[in-house]
Amino acid sequence: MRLAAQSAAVPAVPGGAAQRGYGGGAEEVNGFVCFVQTTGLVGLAVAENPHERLRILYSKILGVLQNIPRDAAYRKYTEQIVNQRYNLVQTETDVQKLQDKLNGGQIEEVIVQAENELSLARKMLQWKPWEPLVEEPPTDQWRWPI
Amino acid sequence: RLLLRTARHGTAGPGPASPAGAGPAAAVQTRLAGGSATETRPTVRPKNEVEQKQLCAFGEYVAEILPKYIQQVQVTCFNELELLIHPDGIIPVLTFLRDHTNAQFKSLADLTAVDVPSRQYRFEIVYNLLSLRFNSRIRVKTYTDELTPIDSAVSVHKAANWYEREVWDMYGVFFANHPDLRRILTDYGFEGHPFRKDFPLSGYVEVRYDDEVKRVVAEPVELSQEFRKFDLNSPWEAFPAYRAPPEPLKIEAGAKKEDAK
Repeated sequence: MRLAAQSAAVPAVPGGAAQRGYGGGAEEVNGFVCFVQTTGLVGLAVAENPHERLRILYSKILGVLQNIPRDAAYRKYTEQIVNQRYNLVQTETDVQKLQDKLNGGQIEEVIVQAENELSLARKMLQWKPWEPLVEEPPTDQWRWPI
Repeated sequence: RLLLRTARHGTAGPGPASPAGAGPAAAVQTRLAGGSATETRPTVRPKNEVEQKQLCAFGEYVAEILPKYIQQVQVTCFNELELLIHPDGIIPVLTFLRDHTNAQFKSLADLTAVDVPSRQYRFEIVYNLLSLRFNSRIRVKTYTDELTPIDSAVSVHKAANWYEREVWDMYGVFFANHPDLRRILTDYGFEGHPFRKDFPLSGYVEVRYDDEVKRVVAEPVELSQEFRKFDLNSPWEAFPAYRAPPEPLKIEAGAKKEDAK
């Protein structure tokens, strides 16, 4: 269930996609062939072999999710997302097209997001948020106007 | 119990009164009989049903994933999604909203508190988050009282550092595991928490420069006019749409009548 496709225009990084040349590929600028490799984002270096990195990360996430009870909603939805992205990574070899299909910004941003999801999955194992409510609020706590 | 509802915050103007408001508007329309086909109300914000549905759907999604901490989810009439949370769940919920792929609320826009003295847990801590990837905002609310500490959000969002210092200074809410919780806006020796509802507007002390001791001294505040309290409640009912249903009379079990022997 993704809001990206439905909500208002996702602000893409300006010029980032245009600047990228990938994996030793050359870009022709004014007749000169130059290797332009930059994500356009400060502090985020271009990833060599992003497919491999994403494959590793997604398989790690799926491994962590196996320890969560099967009926937990977090496991259900995260497995859905991760499997979807995993399939796209495996079928699509061109990085530009993969970026467009994933619709999650630059491929390096997708890698960062996968790392975040992995750390979140590990923390969820400890917090166990699928259990029922810890404590009901006092009766008038959320009443507004008072 | 989880409750998803559309809350009508703010004025009870056009929203709940729309069936009643159609009265005078319909009357105007019949008078103009066939003048304009549709009545326009340019001063009323048009309802964005699509956005409301999306926010409701996302709220249900988050509530399904984190039932341990989320007590209530609501969408205001201005299309703002709010998650009402148990205080133990601050760090899990904020981390989830920051790291999950469908959420990605990477930016903590604001961290404030609201003081409602009549409640058992008087302070309501409010976190406003923004997702840059999906261009959407969410509000997370928790509660606490004067003495119960709350987990600091600094480990999740660095921006919470000064906001939590401000909440500590102004309300007296203690944040556990904060790296440096000290006053930020009040004077160095200031006593009291100014934003609480029981703290007076003029404060308790005033400062002046004393020439004898050659420094600034703090003395109890001296107002030229004594404090006057006005009863500003009008005799008419203020919000007819928010009328609470009359409380049913409780019949308590009384002591049994002793049989006369």
